[in-house]
Amino acid sequence: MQDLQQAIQFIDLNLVTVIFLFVIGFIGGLVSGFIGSGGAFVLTPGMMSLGVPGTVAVASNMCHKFPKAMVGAYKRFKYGQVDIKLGLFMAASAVLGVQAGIRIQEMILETWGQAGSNLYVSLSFVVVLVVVGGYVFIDACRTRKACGIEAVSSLARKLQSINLPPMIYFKRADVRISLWFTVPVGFATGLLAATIAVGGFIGVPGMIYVIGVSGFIASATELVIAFVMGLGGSINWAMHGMVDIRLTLIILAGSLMGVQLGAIGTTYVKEHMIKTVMGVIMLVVAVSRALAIPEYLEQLGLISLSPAIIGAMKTLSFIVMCLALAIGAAIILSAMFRARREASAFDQSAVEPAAASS
Amino acid sequence: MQISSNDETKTLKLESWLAAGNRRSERGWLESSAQPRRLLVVRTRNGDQSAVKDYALQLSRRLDCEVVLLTLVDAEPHGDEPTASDPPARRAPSCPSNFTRSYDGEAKPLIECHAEQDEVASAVERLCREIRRIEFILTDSDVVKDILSETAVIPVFRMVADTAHPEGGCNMSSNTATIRKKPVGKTIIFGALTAALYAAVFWKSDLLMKFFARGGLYAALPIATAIIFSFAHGAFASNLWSLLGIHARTKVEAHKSISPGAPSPKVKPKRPRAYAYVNPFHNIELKRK
Repeated sequence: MQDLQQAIQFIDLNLVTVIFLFVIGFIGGLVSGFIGSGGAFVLTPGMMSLGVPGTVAVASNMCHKFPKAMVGAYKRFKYGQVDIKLGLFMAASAVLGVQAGIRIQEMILETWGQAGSNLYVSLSFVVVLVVVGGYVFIDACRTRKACGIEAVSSLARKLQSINLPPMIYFKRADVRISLWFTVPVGFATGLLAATIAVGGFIGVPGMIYVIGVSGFIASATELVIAFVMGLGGSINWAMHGMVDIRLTLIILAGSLMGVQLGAIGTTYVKEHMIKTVMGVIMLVVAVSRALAIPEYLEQLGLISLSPAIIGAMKTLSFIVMCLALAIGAAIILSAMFRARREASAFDQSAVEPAAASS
Repeated sequence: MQISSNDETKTLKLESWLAAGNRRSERGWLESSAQPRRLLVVRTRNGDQSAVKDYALQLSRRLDCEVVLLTLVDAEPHGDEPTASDPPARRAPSCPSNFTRSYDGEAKPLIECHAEQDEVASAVERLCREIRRIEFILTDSDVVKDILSETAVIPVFRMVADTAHPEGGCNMSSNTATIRKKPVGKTIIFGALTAALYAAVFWKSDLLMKFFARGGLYAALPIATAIIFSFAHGAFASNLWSLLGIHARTKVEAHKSISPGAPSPKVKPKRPRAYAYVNPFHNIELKRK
C-alpha cells in the first residue's frame, strides 16, 4: 500500500499526458452522454499505458465516472429522457451483480492466476460484445430501413403481459412490468461492470429488449445506474487511498464537456442512432479484445508465440480500442450536425415563404 | 329543444337523461352560439411567465375575444396528501365549477386554472369540451406545443418573449433561435471559478495528494472535490455550449417509441370480478334503505 501511494504521488504529468487524458475524457464523455456508457474501457488501459498502476487507473477512472454520470443524467433528465425509478431499481440489482462478479473474479484468480483472470475478462468481452453488439447493430439497421420507426421487442411485450406481482409502473418509460424481470437485467449489468468495467453494454440493450424501454430512455437511465455504481465504487477505492485526484480532474475536464454535447446530441438524432453507435462500438471493442486473447493463452502455456508478435498484437489491440471510441464519436457528431443542418434548413424554408408573402 | 329520432327507445332515454337534471350539453350548445370567441393560453414555468399572458390579453382586446389561462404546475408526488399550500390543481381537481371567473369587461382572463404538466393534453381537451368556442391555443413551451399539436383539434401557436430588448419592453416571436440569449456572463463566471479550482488543486498538488491518498475518512476529500468540480465545470461547459450556439432540441415525440400491440397500463380494461355474498338479497335490502 505504501509503495502504491508513493507511485500515486510521483507520476509525471507533462503536457502530452494532460492533453491525451483530456481528449480521451472528452470523447469518452461524448459517447457516455449519448449511449449512457462507454469510454471507461479505453481510459483504464490508456492511463496504464502512461505508467499509472492498474489499481490507481481503475480507481481514478471510477472517481471521474460518477460526477460525469451525474451531470449527464441531470442534463438528460431536463430533456425528459430519464426514468429515475427504473434507474434506482436497476442500480439496486446491479449492486448485487457487482458483488457476484467480484466473487467470480476472486475465484478465477485463485484457481488460474492473473493470466486466467485476464483471459476470462477478455473472453467475456468478446462473447458478450459480439452477441449483444451484433444483435443491437442488426436491429439498428432494421430500424433504419423501417424509416426509424421503433417497435417494442416481442420478448418485452410478452414479459410486460405476464402479471407476476409486484408489478411496477415506470412512468417516464411508460412501461408496466414485474420486478422479477427487471432484477436479472440489473444483476447482469452489475456482473458485467465488475468483469469488464462497462455494465452499460448489457444494461442498455437489456432495458430496450427485455424491459421494453425506448433507446433514449434506456441510455439516459443507464447514467443513473452508472452514477449509483460509480459513487459506491469511488468511495470504496478512496477509502483505500487509491484515487489520484489529479488524473480524475483532468479526465473530468474533458468528459464534462463531452457528456453534455452527447446529451444534446440525443435531442437531434433518431432513436436508432443510439443502437447504431452502441452496436458499432461494441463490435469494434470485441475485435480489440480478441487481439489481446493470444497473449493470455501464451501466458497460460496453451499456445506459443514470439514476444514480438504478442507485443504487436497488444499495441494493435489498444489502437483498435481507441478507434472504437473515435468511430463512435465521429458517428455521433456527424449525425448531430447533419440533423442540426436539416433543422436549420427546415426553419429557413419555413421563414422565407412567410417573409415573401408579407 | 326537440330531439328527433326514429328509435323511440333511444329518444326516451335521452329525454329521461335530460329530465334527470343533466342539461349541460343542451344549455352549452344554446349558450355557445351567443358566446364570444376565446383563446386558450397554456403557460409553463419557463422564462418570463407574465409576458405570454400579457400578450394574450392584448391580443384578446384586438380580436375582441376572451382569454382562458391554464398554468402548468409540477407533477404531484405519488402518495402525498394534498395540503393547503399546494396549488389549486392539487387541492381540487380541475372542474368547470371550480374555475375562477374574473372577466368583468377589463382585460383579464376569463378563467384561470391549473393542471399538472404531465396531464396537459387531457386538461386542454377537457377545457375545449367544457368551455367551448376556443379558437386557438397559445403557449410558451415547445414541448407543450409538440404535445398539443398531436392531440388538440384546434391550431396551436408557440410564442416567446424577448425580455432583453434594447429599447425596453419585449418583443414576441415564434422563433426561439432569434431571441435566445447568449449566456456570456455566466460562462465567464463559471469559467473563472473552474480555472481557480483547477489552479488551487495543481498549485500544491504534492501536498494535496498526501491527504487525498490517505484513505479511511480522508476518502471524503476526493469524492467532495469531484462533486464540487462537476458543479462548477459542468455549469461552465453547459453555458459554453450555449454560447457556441449548440442547444438541445426539445421534441417529445422523438423520445417515445411506437409500440404496436404493447399493453398500456392506463387503458387496460379491468377483468370482471365475481363476488360471493352471504346474504343473496343484500342488494335489495340496500335499495330499500
